[in-house]
Amino acid sequence: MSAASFTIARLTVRNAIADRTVLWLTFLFMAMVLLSAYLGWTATATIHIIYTKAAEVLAAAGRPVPPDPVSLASPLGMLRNMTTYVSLLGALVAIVLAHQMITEDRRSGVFSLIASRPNSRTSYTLGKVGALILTLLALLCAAAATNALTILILPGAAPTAADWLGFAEFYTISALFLLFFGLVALSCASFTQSETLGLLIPVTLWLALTFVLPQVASNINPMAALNPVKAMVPPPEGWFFSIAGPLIAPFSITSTYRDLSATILGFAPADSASLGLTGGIVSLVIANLFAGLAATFGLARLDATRSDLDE
Amino acid sequence: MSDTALQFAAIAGKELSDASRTKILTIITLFLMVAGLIALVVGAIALSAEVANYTAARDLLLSLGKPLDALAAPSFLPLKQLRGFIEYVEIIGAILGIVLGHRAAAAERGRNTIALLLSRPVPQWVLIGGKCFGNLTALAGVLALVFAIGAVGIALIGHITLTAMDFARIAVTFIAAFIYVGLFFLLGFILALHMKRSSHAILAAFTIWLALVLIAPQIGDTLDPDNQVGSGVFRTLGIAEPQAQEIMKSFATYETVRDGIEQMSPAKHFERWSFAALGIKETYAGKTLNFVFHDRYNDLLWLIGPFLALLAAVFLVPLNITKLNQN
Repeated sequence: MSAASFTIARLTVRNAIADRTVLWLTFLFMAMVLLSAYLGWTATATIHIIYTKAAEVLAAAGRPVPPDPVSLASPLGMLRNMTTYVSLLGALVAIVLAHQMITEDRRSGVFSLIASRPNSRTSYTLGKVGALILTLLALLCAAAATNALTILILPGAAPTAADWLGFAEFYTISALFLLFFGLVALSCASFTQSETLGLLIPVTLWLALTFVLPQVASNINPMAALNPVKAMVPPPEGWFFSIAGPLIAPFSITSTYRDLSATILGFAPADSASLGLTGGIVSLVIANLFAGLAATFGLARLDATRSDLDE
Repeated sequence: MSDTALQFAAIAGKELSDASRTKILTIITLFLMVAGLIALVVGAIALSAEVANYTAARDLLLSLGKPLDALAAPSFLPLKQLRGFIEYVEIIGAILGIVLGHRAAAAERGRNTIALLLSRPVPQWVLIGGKCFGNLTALAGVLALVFAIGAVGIALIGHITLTAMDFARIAVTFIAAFIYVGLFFLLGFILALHMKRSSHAILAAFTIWLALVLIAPQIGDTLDPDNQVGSGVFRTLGIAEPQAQEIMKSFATYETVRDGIEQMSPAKHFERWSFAALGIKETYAGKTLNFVFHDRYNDLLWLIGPFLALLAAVFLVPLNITKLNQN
């Protein structure tokens, strides 16, 4: 990374921290991170009490008592809501953050000034992508620290070394997932002349990946897609879903992220049409490579003679 | 026609014309239509697979000479197929409202024409009223088209003719959808009109959308004990519905808190009203609209109340022209 890239990255991070809207979204995300473990723990504790009452009813009726669903879940299962918050709020934070990183430069005329200096476009691109990676990593590190603390504080969970490894894997997967949306937003903010359109294109893509593709692949209704457990319900039988599921799986980034997270956190089995652990990670990496290429291309052809944006 | 009426009609007409030429709105409307149709088609395919499974199981039982008591036949209520469609209106419809509201204020601010308009003998209420009327009319048109496509979709996919009652059920759902999406239009409009920077206004509107449409229902849904286990906790444990209800009586406070979180969301009120009116929720299947209205009128009130409150705020909060120029 050249000195120019480093300066651009540093200033971009500083601007992002100063942007109130990015901060609001970040605070909302962090609040949900804080809440997620508590929600998971409350729901798990409620299931356990329901099980105890149900076991009494079953025993009184002389029927066999099935195992407690809670005892079958992993301690990391209490973080299952994080899958939804990362794919909802986290993805939107990444989109808004990346969008602001480019539009702020264009709106204020800073980009024209940078372009008039002897800096290569590669330095600018590296600076912006570097700043995006840095801010997303900082956000996820803060989220991971909050989650780790809540896991240790809340009773009932006794994570092992393998669980902590799974925890680290979950956050690595989350970083890849958020980076994809960030890179898409970087490229859209570079390609479009309208600020609103630059934001709406990645948001529309996010909507399609979060709601439409899981519906086609597994008939998961949009609101069910927000529930980490209901989103993992196996697809209906029939020729359509047996073809559509595997066909869509490589493109269904959000489903891939959900499948990987559910497997790593151990709260639900992966979708039968999923790509598996290795296939899922490869799919996320490939998606990031394509999004990175689009961002590089978009930033390379960014018109320095026209810095202002259309409303 | 008085001067005021002419001004009002001119502003409303211009808003309608601007809205119809806005590419972003066309994209979101098309996206809503396509997503809604996909939900209908996929739902129909899933239902036909369910019917095929039932038929195969029934034939097997009959060939073995066994009774069919244990086999529940899949129910076919055409309007039930609108579930995914309604959920897309909840999510994408709200975005449509926000973008339309944002455009109505931000476009004028970007060109500084709002200050120019206010320097002319045009009362503020005429300007705001004309803009709201024009855009809400556009919104009603777009939603009417979306719902018409949904109704035609059900008829074509299901090879059925919708009855007058079906149309009445779709019509009351459309009215609720209009109020719901109108609420987000007013939110986008008021934020873009009064916030210092319009780019911050749309992001603030999206943050509120996220909290009200996605997060609040998600928390309520996630806390539902029956949603914690893939096929339902009571079904997994083999507990029948009456016993399940008996067990849940001891979780009254928990359920009140959970429901309270869901009640914060206008999306949930729209969903509850629509699912009841269309008979998507089992409890309301086959019930009359009169019954639905008496049972769920509070959901309509929860939509109408905030809509009127925001409408009043749009008219009553004075415009700061100096701020409008600082875009």
